[in-house]
Amino acid sequence: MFAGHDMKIPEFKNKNRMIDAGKNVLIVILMITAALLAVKSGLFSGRGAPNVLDGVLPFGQETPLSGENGIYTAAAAPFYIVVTPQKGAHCAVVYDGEAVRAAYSRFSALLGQAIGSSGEPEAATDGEWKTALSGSGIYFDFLSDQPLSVLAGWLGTSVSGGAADHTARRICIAADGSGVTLYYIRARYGTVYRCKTALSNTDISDNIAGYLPDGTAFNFELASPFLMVDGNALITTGRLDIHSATAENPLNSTAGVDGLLSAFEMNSVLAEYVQLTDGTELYVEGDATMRIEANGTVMYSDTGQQGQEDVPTPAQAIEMARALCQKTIGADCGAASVYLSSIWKDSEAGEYQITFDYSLNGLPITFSDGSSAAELTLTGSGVTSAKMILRKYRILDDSENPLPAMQAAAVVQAMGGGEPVLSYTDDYGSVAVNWVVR
Amino acid sequence: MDNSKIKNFIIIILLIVNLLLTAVIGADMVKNRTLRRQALEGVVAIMESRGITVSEDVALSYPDLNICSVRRDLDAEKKRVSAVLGKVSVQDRGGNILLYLGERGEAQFSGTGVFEILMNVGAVPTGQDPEGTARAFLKKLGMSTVKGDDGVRVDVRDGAGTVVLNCQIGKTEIINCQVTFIFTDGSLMLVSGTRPLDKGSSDSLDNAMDVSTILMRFLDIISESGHVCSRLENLELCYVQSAPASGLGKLEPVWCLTTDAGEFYINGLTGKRETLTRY
Repeated sequence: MFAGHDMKIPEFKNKNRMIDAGKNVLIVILMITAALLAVKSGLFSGRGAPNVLDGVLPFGQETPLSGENGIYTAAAAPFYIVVTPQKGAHCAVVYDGEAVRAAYSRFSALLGQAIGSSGEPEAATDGEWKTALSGSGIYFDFLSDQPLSVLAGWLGTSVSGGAADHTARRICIAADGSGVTLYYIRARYGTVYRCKTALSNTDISDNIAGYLPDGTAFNFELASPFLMVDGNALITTGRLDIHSATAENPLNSTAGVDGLLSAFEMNSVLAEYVQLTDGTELYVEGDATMRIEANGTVMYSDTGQQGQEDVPTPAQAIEMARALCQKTIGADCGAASVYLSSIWKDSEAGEYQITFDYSLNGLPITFSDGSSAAELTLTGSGVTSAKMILRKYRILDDSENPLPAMQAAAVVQAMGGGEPVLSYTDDYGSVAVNWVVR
Repeated sequence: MDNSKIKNFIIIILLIVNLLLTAVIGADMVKNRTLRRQALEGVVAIMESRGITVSEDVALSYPDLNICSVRRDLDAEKKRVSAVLGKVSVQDRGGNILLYLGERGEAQFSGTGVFEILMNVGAVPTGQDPEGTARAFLKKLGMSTVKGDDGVRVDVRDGAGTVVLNCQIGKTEIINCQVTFIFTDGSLMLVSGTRPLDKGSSDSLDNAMDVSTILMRFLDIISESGHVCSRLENLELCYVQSAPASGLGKLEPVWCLTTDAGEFYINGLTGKRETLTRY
């Protein structure tokens, strides 16, 4: 009997251990299912998983792209896009920010491929440029010179050869009998270049199908062109109906000033603060000085950074300036956006002079005194001086009707010539829609 | 208390929690379904009050589509091109455009998904079934095509003509990914179009528009544009692919509404009208 009893005790213990282990497993399973059910029921709906597309989708102006030396966000986009479905018959996408953005979203891949696959640039004649503009293709006007290497990076590609050192304001990808050719004008020098691309005519024709001619012509195509007016000026047809706008100085809160100081890496607590009798605020921290005027103009200088660092590439310099402008003039600019309007490199001094301007509703904003929204000097990897005009713009429901393009060209001709550019003009009091002569 | 009894107590508590959570989720699903149905009935009533009837064939229930990132996989691309062209050599033409020179022809592929393949004469005979030839060709290229008559247009006579196929991912059509085959003299000459890029990760959409919201957007769109239509004949949830030169793109849900006045495409995220065409 003892022997039999002795045999049963381990069996009983084993059974208990198994039940205990089963309970442990059941508890774990129930806890996991409870956690899953709790998540599914939304009890713990936190921030959620990060969007897999963040930073991956490079379209248009807002999206960052990985370049060879980092991540770059497009700092400029065309103001005018002209689609030419058939010779001499154009469809202009202009003076409407949303329409231009949509068209650029559609054509930017083609532009990137054209620049990226461009062969060695050859000088072209004015006649060849005009033939390209009149023929089937797509024309982009950025209104200011853009470095092609940087533009290619924004568009997800890269450019090699001579074009990498060129800038261009006006770019045309033209489909001719032998393929697609990239034409561009370097505004600073007025020279025309052309490069063969790897695109085919169908790449163009497939993309521009659906665009119908709207009567737009380039000045040089008119039966009686305005000889004193820029030949590439766009002469759209019909009445112009542009939304009115207002502007104000957004820098009227402590938070705004703190953000500004922070953008220039100044400490609002440590910086010495002086308010002048005219309302100007002065902040001094070490070698850095910031002067904020009552009208929203900000002057910054830092004498301690000169010659400290290696000179950045144009793409790095633009990205640095763009990031700074986004935190300053772009932080509270209302309906406006900010774009790169010029870049100049002084190789001897190792400096970049970079300007940014506001655009609103597809039109550039011009200040009455000719200032740019931001004028920056970059030395090494730091900003050594800056002048910024902080404005906040609002689009109104009312509209303004500036002179039609043909009449504006006639007026410019009578005034002695130039290029009429439809713009919002800001005199620091009011904003109006005007033809500005460049 | 005995250890075993404590575990029993925990198990009972967890069972109750699980049951309660299941009940909460179930009630939420029923409530959502009811709300969606009511919203849909309301929108259909509004459409009918504006003179637009909804065909009985129209399916008004769709599972949510995830937004997907797509990217160009160069290794996979080369393998697939080799499958149709034989051993290939590659030339980089810049702008992320690659030219493949193969034994049976040459091909050009770009980061946007646009491609063109020029076949040597006789490399791929038209055969008795040009549609089947085209589908098999795309299968070798790693592309899935929409099954049935909706996703194909065949116009081939005496070994010459065109076949157009629409591509899909999973079972969802990608509206702007179409491939055209041109046959001449009894053999395949040219294959061109836009291919779906290789699928990356996908992300569920919290802000995706449901059917009733899309139908209301449709009413707004035709009201703004002045279109006149009297019947909604079909409703489909598809994808639209967009990719820049870099080959890093996305697939976004887009609703295709077929009416007696033509097709309308509405972006499933933004609710904006898309300008797209398909055969």
